[in-house]
Amino acid sequence: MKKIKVLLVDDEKDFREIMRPVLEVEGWEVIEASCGKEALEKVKQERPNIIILDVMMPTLDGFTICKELKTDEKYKNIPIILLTVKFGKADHERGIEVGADAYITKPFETDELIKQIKSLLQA
Amino acid sequence: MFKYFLKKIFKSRDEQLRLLRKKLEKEHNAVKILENFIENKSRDFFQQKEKFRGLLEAAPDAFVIVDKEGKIIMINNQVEVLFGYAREELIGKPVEILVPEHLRTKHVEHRKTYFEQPKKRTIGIGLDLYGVRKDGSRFPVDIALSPLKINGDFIVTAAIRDISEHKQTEEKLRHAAAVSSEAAKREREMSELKSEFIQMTSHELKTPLTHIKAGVSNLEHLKLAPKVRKRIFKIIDGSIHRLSTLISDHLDLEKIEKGKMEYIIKPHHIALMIRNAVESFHLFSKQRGVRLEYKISHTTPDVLVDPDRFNQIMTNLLHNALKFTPEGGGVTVFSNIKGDYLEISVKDTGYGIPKEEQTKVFEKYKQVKDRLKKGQIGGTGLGLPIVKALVEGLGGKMRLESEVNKGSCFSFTVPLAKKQKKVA
Repeated sequence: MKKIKVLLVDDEKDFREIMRPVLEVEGWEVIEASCGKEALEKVKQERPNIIILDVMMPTLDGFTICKELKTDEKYKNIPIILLTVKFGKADHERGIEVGADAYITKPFETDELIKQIKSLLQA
Repeated sequence: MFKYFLKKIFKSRDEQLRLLRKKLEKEHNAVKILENFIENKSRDFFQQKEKFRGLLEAAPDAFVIVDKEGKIIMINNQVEVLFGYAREELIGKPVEILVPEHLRTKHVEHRKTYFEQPKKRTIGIGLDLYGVRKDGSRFPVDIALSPLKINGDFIVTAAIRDISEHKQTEEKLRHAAAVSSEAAKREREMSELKSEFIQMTSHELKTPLTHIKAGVSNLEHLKLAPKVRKRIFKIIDGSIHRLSTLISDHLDLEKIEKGKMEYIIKPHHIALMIRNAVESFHLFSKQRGVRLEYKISHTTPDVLVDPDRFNQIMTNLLHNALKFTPEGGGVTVFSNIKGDYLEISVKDTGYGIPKEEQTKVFEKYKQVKDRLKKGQIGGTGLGLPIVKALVEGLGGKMRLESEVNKGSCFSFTVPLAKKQKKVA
């Protein structure tokens, strides 16, 4: 069986480093991107099964990338989990508006993220 | 016969005399009636005139009555009070005497047009009309005109009201409104900045917290290779350091802003202080792959500084320079004597700062706001505002030269311990 590919997009290298073993232990292949532009490239190259996407990033933010992918026929079926430290209803609504499949607020329980990924992969 | 004749003559003369007397009497009566009439009329006129004057004097406004030629024919006491002229100085004079000089020609034209079609109207509403006093001072007025037909000719009554107080009140109200709207605007801006600042700070707080939380969870639940374990410990440690820096930066800035930062200023050997600061970044520069060097002569004269604050300035500038310089680049520290000051520069071959952003890097809220807008993160965004405030607190000045893709040079001055001899 082909390994499930998880694209982890966050401009914080420390965050990607910490999350890698959490995802790898589930038997998933982890692909990293440090900015919006790189994320879009990796989506095209790697065709990930799911994307974990940070909202606040330089140049292209998570909302913009999410919207771009969700309006593209080729990629709109890839589930996207938005990660953000932003609070408030407006941001949550914006996440739904741009078509995100889930919205998780930092800091979070790693279990919570894993559960969310699994349920989106099964759907 | 003669007698009869005579008798007849006398009779007719008597008759004539009687008739004449009668006629005279009639005429006398007519004159009497006329006299009475005239007397009554003139009394009437006098009474009316007095009545009119009484009314005029009782009116709260200044009244100027002007004939067709624009000559003043009657005024009330208010005019004397308002314009500072005596009655006899005005009667017979052109009404323009009461109009500011630069408007006199225009006023003559307006007056002529008005007499062609005189009707009741108010002038001055929405216009800035002024009266001019005998002493030349001007004051704002409202004027109401009303025509009066006498013997087929028009005269015009002008009711003039001094609206200085009204204007002042209006001005005060306008000013008060402006002030309160300005204050409201400022408050709104501050509150926007504050909420953005809180959002930014919460981002800065939550990011390292996320790392710590996830890191601890990993260490607890996952079987990790020793190398990965070590790395996660290091990230947690770094995140804790980031949090504590964030907190101390906030506290420092608060102290500086409230003027509570204490400086213990004494003469210090600058070369030694710079060497210590640079050497503390030895490891960091190696990790970043950036060359770090300093060119400060051991003979550089002593400076007046607080060593702790000086070290804080140097640490901030060096950290920034190394952070924003790509691998293979370099950071150099050097100094120059400038009058009674020593200028210390930290120059890098980094990414540089666009011109329009160069002043913003020293502004605490601005920079944070812009970074938030662009979604840029990393660092507290308070480092440079603190550096600038500390430099100024030590009596120096901060300066930045930068070019995109070439690098930045942050320089600051500190007072020399001994005044330099002027070089001729």
